[in-house]
Amino acid sequence: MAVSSGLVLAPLDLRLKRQPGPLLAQIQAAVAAQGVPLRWAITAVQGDDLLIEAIVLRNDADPPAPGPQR
Amino acid sequence: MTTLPTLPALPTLLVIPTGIGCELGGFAGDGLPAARLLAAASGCLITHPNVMNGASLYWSDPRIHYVEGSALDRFAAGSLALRPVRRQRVGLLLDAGIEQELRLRHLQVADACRASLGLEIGPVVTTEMPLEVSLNRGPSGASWGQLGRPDALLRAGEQLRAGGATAVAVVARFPEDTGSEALAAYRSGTGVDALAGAEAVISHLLSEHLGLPCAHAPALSPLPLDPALDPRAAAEELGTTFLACVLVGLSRAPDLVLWPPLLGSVAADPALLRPEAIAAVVAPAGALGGAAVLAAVERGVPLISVHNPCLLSVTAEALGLSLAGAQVLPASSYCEAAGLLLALREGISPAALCRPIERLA
Repeated sequence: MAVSSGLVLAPLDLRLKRQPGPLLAQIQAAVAAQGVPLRWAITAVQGDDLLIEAIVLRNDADPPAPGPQR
Repeated sequence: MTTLPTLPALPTLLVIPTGIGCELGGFAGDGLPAARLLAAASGCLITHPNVMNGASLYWSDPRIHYVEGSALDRFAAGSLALRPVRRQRVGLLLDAGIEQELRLRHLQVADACRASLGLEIGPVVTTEMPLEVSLNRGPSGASWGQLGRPDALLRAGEQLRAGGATAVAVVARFPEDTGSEALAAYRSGTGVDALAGAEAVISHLLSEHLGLPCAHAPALSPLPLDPALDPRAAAEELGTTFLACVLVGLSRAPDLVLWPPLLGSVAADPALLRPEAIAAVVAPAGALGGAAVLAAVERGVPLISVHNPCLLSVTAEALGLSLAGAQVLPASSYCEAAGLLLALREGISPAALCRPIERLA
């Protein structure tokens, strides 16, 4: 990502319903939809739901996808 | 005395996530003894700065590879290889928000590492403006953090790389809250490292952007003496900076090599530590939901899940790892984890060491 003064770090809390198959790709896709993934982790599992805390990098000029921010 | 031939090393990832209050490894480099033991058992341990950094305390072991967290994630996922080096040239990136006397302390630590340890350090770059670090917590209680000026961090890193640095040590000014309950809890051994999340964000951001080994040390004023200081937090209160361990760790951190490489000559380098060589990953039993662990497990790497209480309960059972075909080996301690690594290294089935042992038919 180009270095501009508009770069911001955005914290996220996501709830992802897991689908059959490998988890990593599902999580990476969900986080990447909100910005450039910087750091994330599954912090709780509730049945089929994964609670993920993350931080992504965005350019202020780019609107985020709909999703819960912290 | 007869010398037995040395078994090939068993490249092993050691993950102890920072900022989640791990009972072992969640403080001031208190994961180091476990890392030393696992390095002896495996012959080749790849771990991240949180495990190795004890502020003024450190341990250099040629069997331990110091790899920043996001690079460790990418190594586990197969998109990076590691090239061991004799020496890195460690650039020093200082936050413009560090006051003059504290800045001078950090420069003196760097000079001491040059004169007394023989490290190659330089250049030194100061950010154009203060980085504005702030701290917060996620819903789980895990430590997170923010930077007001990530662009300033990245531009300073680019300057260092252009100036010949092959690794980057970054020092950011962190907010003080000496009277906080969170700090008191941490110092007494019951709390979460409140700085950890922001530190990880800083090093992840820089490492991903520059493609160089990076690590972070916070700049803080010294704390008043605490007679009840927990031994696990003690290493951070020996001096005026947290920098020495970072400089030592980075001084021999492996180069990060994109994988698979475009050039066949790179792939043929016998010194490379390739991701497909990863033979085990060791992680706390309740903190298995991170990128490195999931990537390794999904690539068929055996997971040693160690009893190491923390804030989280993201266990192998909760994630359904065994049902998905992962080999999960529970360990009640890092001592037992070392035994399991030795068993794997010797080609001994871990099942043969457990009781009861079931019949085949």
